[in-house]
Amino acid sequence: MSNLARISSKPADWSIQRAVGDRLGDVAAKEIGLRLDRIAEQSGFHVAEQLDQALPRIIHKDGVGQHFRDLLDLLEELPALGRGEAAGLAGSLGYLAEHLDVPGLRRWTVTGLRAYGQHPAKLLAYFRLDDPLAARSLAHEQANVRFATLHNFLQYYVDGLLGDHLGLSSRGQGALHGPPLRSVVTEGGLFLPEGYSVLDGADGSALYRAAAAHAVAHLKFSPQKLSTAGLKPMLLAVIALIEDARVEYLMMRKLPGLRVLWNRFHKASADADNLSFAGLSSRLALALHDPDREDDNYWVNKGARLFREQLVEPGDYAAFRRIASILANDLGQMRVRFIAESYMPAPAYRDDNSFLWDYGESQNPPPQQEPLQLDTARMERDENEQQTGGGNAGQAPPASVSPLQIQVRFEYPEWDYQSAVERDAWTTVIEQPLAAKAAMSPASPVSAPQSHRNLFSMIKARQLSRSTKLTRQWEGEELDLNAAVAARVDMRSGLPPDPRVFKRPGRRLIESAILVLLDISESTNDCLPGRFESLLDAIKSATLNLGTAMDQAKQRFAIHAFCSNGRQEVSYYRIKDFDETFGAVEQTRVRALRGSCSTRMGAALRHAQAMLAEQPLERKILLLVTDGEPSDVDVGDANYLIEDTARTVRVIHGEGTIPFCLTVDKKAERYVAHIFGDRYLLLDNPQDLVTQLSHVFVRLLSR
Amino acid sequence: MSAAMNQYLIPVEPYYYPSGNEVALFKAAYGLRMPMMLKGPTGCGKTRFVEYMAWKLGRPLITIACNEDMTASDLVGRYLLDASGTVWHDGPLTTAVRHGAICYLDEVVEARQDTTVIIHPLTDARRILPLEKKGEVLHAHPDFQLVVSYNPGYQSMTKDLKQSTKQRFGAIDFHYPDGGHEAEIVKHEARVDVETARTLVGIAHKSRALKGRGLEEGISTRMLIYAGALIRDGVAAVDACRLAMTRPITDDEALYKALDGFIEAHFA
Repeated sequence: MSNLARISSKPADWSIQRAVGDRLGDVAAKEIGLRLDRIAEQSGFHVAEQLDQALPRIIHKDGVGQHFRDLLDLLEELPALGRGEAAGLAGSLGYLAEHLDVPGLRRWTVTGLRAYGQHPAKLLAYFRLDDPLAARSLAHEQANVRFATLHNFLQYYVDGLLGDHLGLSSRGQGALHGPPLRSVVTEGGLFLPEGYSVLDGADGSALYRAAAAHAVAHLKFSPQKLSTAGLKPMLLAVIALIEDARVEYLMMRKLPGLRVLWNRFHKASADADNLSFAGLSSRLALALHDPDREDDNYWVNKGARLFREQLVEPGDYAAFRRIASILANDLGQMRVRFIAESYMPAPAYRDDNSFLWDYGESQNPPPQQEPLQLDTARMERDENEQQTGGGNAGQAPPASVSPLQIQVRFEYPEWDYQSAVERDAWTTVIEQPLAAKAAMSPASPVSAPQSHRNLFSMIKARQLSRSTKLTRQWEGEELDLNAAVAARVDMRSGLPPDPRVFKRPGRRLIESAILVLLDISESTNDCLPGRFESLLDAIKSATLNLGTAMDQAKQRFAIHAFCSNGRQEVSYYRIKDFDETFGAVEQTRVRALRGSCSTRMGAALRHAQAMLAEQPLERKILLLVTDGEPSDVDVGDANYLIEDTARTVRVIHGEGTIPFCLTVDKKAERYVAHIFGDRYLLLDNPQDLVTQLSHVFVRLLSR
Repeated sequence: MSAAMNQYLIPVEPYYYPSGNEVALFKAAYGLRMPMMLKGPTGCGKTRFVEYMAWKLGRPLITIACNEDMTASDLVGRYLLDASGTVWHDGPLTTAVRHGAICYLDEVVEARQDTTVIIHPLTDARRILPLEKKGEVLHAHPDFQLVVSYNPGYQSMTKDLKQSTKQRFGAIDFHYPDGGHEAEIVKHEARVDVETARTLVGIAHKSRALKGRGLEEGISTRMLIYAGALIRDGVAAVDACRLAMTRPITDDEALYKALDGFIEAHFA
């Protein structure tokens, strides 16, 4: 309350508020002021003042986007440090922020806390950049070896090692003082840390490879979800430690190179010569991994010996579990303490082993936090869109369409595969009216279509193939008179003539009409893994990018979208028609799209084909961009709509249109080949959508 | 057989490791002179198989690598000018038809469809090749057989054979040989030890899991043989694999890093 009073009486207390006020408005400026007030109260006025001076430099560099908000969130956590440390960090903040982005800055801070959490003096030196580790950590974060930059590479690596697809996502560090991040393996996906600290290993890329290979080892060889009932935490940790070594051994039998890769991280963590659980367990981990390693500890050597004796039969999980029980029992007798909260398996590439256990209902597996974070992000974004007028009446879900607006209805048949009957007039496609120009919000600047020029020239080049007559050919339909005369001249002079005296036509320019059909069902609102962007956002930016390029290339194309709410209500939006240009109004319509309801593909495809068929051009292409299988609220049988869509696609193809499907559903292989034959592309990473969509086009057009 | 055809005979037995009953099938098809289509990914042994069969059957083999700019005359032949007038030159297909060779059109989808239709009268009961420009209808030699190869995965979106062409052929499916066989082939062809051959095959298997997920094709047996031969000649294994296997197959940095990761994992 007192804070609020102070803010209202002195609205521009901090200089940062003035800098932000112009760009974010008074509300945001007030919020920032409030946060600085809070920091001043908890960590001292001096700290807040230093922050106030550093922040404008950061805004100057990065603007006031999401990262700035993240930074403010990080500053909120400053009181978790001591007052002196907070002041030290605040003093270095300007320098750090110039060299690091906010996630890097946060990891740099966490690295300091992890290394010197028990030594306030050293921690202060670290924050003041006087400690050698501070520089090393800074360089490590600057190298930008993170999940986000390695995502594509890791995806390929994991898929190849596993021989199957496994989704990858990142997980971030929670509290500043939390235990170090470990990867989390689940059957449905692998969560890797968004970034490793320099303390985990200097070569970040190798560390990610090691972590990915370790996860694959678990997925291939470990039993899953064993009950933890009646097992003490220390026993669980020892069982997991033995299991880690066992699956790595099994993996290394086929892939001996992994021994070197994993070994690099063992050395770092096993140096500590202490008799705590963490020390002993990391020494045991190394002894199990490296048969040549001699340890001076009796318990470590005993574990290594038992393990090695059992390796004649590495598939016998129960035998290894018995070894773990013996070792855990010994630790109990040695009075070694185990603190479950702070223990993390070492070395850093290993996962948290939650894959092995079923904890019952008492504990939640860690990755569940993340969808929650994403959900809140989405809610915020939705609010923003409403504020800026993004959610327009024209693109609102069918339920909210005003009855005064004119809807055009079309009826289409649907195929019932079980009774092998095509039901006449079974579905109703409703062309939803689009909002008039006046109602549209002004177009925001085009979101930097960087690959624009490239794509544009690609489509151009493919179309402008040799459309003129080719002269001086070996054969052809008519004589090339110039060449023929030259040949006669040569012959008269007794020289060997150039026999290429014909003309033939080059390749003809084929005109195509393209209809891009976007699936805007509810599921497209889901956020992309690890990003504050939904699939629909990715589809929108890809569509904008491509539309502008095609418009410039004078390509004849239309952009339509659909969603469905039962067979009587398949909503269809004609965002850009063949005869329209892709101008500001059409672009705004794309931006204003919102995902809702379900995916009745067949009906929408039939309607699209009806319009495409009217196009007088030689070649017609119908490109469907979707995120999942056909489904609708009034259909229980999963195969029903798949079969209908497959039949529709066959009909469309029979009518001379080339159907093509671009899907981001990772499980699409099950049905998409059945529907589209070989005319589909499965996108593992929706972030590639822009590039992939343009590649598909170039391929389709160059045919 | 004319002396000119001797150059097309395969003098020594090419190495071929059958992975099923394809040799017997092809022999039976040749007995009927049935046109054959060999389908399969690049570098899996289609061309080697044809050479082996030509050797086994004792027939000359005329191979034509098809490309987009190839015209019907490139196959059939053309009149050429010389100082005294025009002279007809048989094309490779005509030579094979006239003298009873096996004519092998490699990667036939690469040829334009207006080119491929000239094989239609040759590949049904008529077995004739009309030489329009010359005013001659050539009846195929009784030993003549047409074989084409075709990679269904490769650019199948943009290029495909017409149904009317496809349905004139019998077809044999080729795949990369299974692990043990493939290692045996790499060992023999590259003359490396079996351990190295197995490792190379292991890397290839990982890459083939990425087919359709970034890679158009996985690493082929041919690439493994190249890599193996480099290793035999003293090139460091990792370098050889990069040179012969991962760098040629993709330009995508993330992909070849992943492929390099597989190499790293396989070599101790």
